[in-house]
Amino acid sequence: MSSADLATPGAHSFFFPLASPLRLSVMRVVAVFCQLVFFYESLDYQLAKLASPGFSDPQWFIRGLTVLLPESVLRTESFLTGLWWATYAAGVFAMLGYKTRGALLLFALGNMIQIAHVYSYGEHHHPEAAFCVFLLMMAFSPCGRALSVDAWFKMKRGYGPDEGWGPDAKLTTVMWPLVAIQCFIAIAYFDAFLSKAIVGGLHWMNGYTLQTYLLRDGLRWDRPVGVWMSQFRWLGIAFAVGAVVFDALFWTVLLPRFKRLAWLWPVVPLFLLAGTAMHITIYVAQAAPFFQFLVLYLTFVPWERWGWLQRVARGATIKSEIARVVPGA
Amino acid sequence: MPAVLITLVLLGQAAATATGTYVKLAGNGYWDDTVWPFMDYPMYSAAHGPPVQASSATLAAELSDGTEIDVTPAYMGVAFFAWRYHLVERIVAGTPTGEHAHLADKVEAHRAEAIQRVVDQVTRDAGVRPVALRVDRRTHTITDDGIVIDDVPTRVPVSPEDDDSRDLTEDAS
Repeated sequence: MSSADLATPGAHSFFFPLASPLRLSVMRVVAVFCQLVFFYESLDYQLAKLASPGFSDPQWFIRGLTVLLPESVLRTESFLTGLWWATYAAGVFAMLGYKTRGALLLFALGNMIQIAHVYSYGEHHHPEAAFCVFLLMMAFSPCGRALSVDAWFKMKRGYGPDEGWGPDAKLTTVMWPLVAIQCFIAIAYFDAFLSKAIVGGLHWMNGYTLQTYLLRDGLRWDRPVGVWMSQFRWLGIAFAVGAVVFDALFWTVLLPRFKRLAWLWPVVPLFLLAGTAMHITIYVAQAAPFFQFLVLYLTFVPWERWGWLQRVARGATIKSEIARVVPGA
Repeated sequence: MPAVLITLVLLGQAAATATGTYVKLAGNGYWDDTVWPFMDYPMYSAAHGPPVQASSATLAAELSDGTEIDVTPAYMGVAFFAWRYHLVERIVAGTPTGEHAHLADKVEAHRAEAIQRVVDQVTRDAGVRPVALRVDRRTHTITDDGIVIDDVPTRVPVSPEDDDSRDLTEDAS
């Protein structure tokens, strides 16, 4: 099935507009770098799980894997150590863009296996899911067409925009992972809204609710800011109303992708700034680290319009960039 | 391929949302999902009313020489929620009565298991068997005068029936 098989022309232009590969390539470098440096759990964290007698809540991902690899192999120090290092190495290759798609596929799958392994002992967290889906989707996209060793080799051999390489190329297959993950997190936020609406109802915005959560998490995770904030009911009401509106309407950031609704573009920076403020506040006051979502917000940034990024992608060196800014240097 | 992936990913997450929503609408609590990376996002969705209250707890092991060891999640090598709900809450759980009386044996078994896990860890770490475990549960209530703390300590003596400390000392020598 090709990208052109999506049902309607509207959906096709939504996911597959003609665009430069630069934005996708920037996101590949940023996402893999962040996963390697900030989000990749330590090997000790994986190995500590082996102290448990077995899986208490095996994820379908792990169940599927145990068809190929029995639990007696999967739950061993040697397998987990090998997987951890192989995933890390694949990440380095993916970030540099050498054998980009293969490396990224291994990196995404390695991360997904490790996270599903940890969750199979009953420990569930929410920030990683969308990020891993994004890494996996990028592995099936031309994310190495710019800012990569692959692109550098290709361009040295004479490949250029006409062949789909470099920042000046125009392809219909570079935007879909970015737009798809934007849809994914919009569904996740809307899910959070539905949960609040069904379980908490209007009472969720009574102020006492967020006061209770701030106090509870502030004490639990030793966050004095959260404990302090929990003492103000008006703050609880304001934050609750803000959170509900944000969760319920985040999907509107997708509307400017339709040509007729392009005039709605201000909602994008508005929601991204609000989301950034919300997640940072939640982290400071309640120790809930949703930084992966903040990285995914960067998929909205039109990196391909940044001149210096275009020049770097075309092969400009740091020396030539300095010479451009400081003549005579 | 991209179209297939987009469809799978977005339908997968939409299905997870729909399933989680259905379970909540049916009044069956929260969906216990195992289909990561497709998840329900029900965190912090319950409403709370006044008074604004939250509880905290600390767990300590008392040694025979009067010293104490803080038994934190890190000390036990487990996540916070496993520490709180599989250790602390089980150690201080009340004996069920009335219609829940039939669960008494299970509660006692969980309590004994939790105490044993802590005792084993302290014995391994300190080389001596603790004489008691102490759980301090504090209820913090926000009032017009600030945060009021209500402290409820619980001391659970540890049976000296197996003198592990002597065995360990002998092993160590």
